[in-house]
Amino acid sequence: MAVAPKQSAEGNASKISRKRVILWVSIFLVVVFCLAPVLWQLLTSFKINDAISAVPNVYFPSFDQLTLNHYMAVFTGHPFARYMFNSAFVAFCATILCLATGAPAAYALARLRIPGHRIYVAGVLIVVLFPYVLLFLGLFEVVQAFGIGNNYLALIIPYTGRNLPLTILVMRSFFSQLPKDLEDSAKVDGYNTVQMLIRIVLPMTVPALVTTGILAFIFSWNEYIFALTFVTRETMKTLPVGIAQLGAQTVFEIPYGPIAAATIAGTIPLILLVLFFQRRIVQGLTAGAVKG
Amino acid sequence: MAKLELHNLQKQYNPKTIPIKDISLGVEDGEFLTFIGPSGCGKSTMLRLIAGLEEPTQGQVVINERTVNNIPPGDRNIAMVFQSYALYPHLTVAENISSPLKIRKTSKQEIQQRIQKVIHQLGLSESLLERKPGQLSGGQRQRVALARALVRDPEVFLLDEPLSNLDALLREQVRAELKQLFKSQNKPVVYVTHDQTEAMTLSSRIALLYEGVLQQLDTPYQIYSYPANSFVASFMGSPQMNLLTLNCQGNHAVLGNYEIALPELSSVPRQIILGIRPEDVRLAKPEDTQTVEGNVYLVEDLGKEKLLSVQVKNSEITIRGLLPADQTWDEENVTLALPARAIHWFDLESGDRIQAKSSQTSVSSERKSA
Repeated sequence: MAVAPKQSAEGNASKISRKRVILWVSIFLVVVFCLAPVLWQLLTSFKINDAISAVPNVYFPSFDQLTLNHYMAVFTGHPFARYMFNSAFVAFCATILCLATGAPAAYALARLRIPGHRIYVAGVLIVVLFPYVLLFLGLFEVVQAFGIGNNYLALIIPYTGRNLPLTILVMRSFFSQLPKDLEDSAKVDGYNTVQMLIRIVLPMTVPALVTTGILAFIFSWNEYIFALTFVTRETMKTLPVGIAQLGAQTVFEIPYGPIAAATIAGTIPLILLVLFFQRRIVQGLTAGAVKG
Repeated sequence: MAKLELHNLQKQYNPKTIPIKDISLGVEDGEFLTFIGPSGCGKSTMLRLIAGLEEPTQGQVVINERTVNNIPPGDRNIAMVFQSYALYPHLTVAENISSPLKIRKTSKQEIQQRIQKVIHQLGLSESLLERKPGQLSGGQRQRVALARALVRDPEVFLLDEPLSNLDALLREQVRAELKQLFKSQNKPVVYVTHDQTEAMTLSSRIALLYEGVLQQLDTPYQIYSYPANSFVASFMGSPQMNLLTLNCQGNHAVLGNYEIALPELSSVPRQIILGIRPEDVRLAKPEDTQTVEGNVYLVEDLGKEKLLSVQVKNSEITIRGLLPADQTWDEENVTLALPARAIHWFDLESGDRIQAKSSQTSVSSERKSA
């Protein structure tokens, strides 16, 4: 009898530690699963061509297998900076347009008693559900009809439209949570509607704007099919299209190294952007406005 | 001359939802009027109509003899304190307090002066001025909200349950301070609450609303002593007034085996409502004429007093009585006196107070003196 509890205690201890082991192993596996492709690209971008094509695979290159040549090739042989600028410009404009039109729409849907506002919301949701790949042929006709092919507008407008539904939905739910007393209080204090929106509502909306803005920006930065279809001029191409069309000297050679290098170089601005704005996505900015 | 007047005010969202039905009243300078009523009685809507946050369907809101129906809230020169305080979270305390002045382009010097005056008045320390609302305690936030209202020196103050988010001890303290504060302002104050202690202690007059209809508009004393109908009687006063529906027989109302004398009425109805406050019920003394005997089935000890629930003999009716804690009685059976002076009679159909012919004169004279 005296031994039994001791055993069970030991059993408990090993159980707890086993649980922890399983937990950490699963975390490790998930992280590897998510990051392995990125890591593979990163390593590929630094490997010399022999190491890239070696059989069996070289997972972790040794020092003499490392090179920066792929990056040099990307930045010297191609208008890579131009691609980046195009992507940044298009994504920036689309994001700003999207927020500037989506946020007021969301505010109206959240605050005004519009008859049938649920129908509007449902309509917006359906647009999100529609597979956008099906849109591009139709849009191509539209782009042609307006004659804006090979124009930034051909990308900015569809990207804005594509991101609007999500922006409206996210912002609407954010506005609905915002205490209405604050707006009433502003009205009693003497703010007119525009002043109230800009000085009271907007500052409180920054976290939501940043969140949806980042999502819209990432989408526009990475978008491929529209960019491939609506833009053919070399100087107008965006980053994904540019990377995909990185050519080698011969048709039979696929330039894995430069593609990997371009991918990594193209991702860095996004990572910087998210890291920079992360600090602005502070939860609980409204704390203290109303009863705490 | 009334500073704030409401003429036949009505608010209707749709034919079925009418939160405010035809209300007229006036609030003078220095008067503290409280709207009280159960949830959904329209009291907050009332305040929002006065503030201009909602438009009345009919009727007028008049401030200083100026109809303000079409004037936006910011130009009505009213200040409102919200239940949630509604402080701007991204602005400091100083910016919060000065926001109504800044928007009116008041000079910086004057803003400084007024802020100093108002934080002194409310006992807010200067070190708080640079903090954000999120860094304040509940009581401090409440003061900042008050400061934002006071700093404007408005013509009318509106307060929407400003104490309901404070804990019980603080609430009592702030209540007393509020009373002093608004006494010194000498402006019409309209206050909304569902707490009858607040209403009683703060107000010079109480307006009791129920289902969008003004049930009674009177001083706290009158509302307590002469409730206009059975709803007012049951709503004001704690513990709640006993309201018993009784059959009438001849000149008496029948309560179990006992008869309670009715007041002099032009015609005796079939049934009537008898109202008596638990604090007016006492143990019978030998000289009492109007007594009922019953079975004590519940005793609630309130410390100072004991609240007895008594089932009247030979009936289903229960009477609650508040007895001093040191009084003793037979465990089971007790005889209670129902003093005729303390009994209120209400019409069963309309719920209206039935005024005894003989006592009418005394009531009206008391009203004058009140």
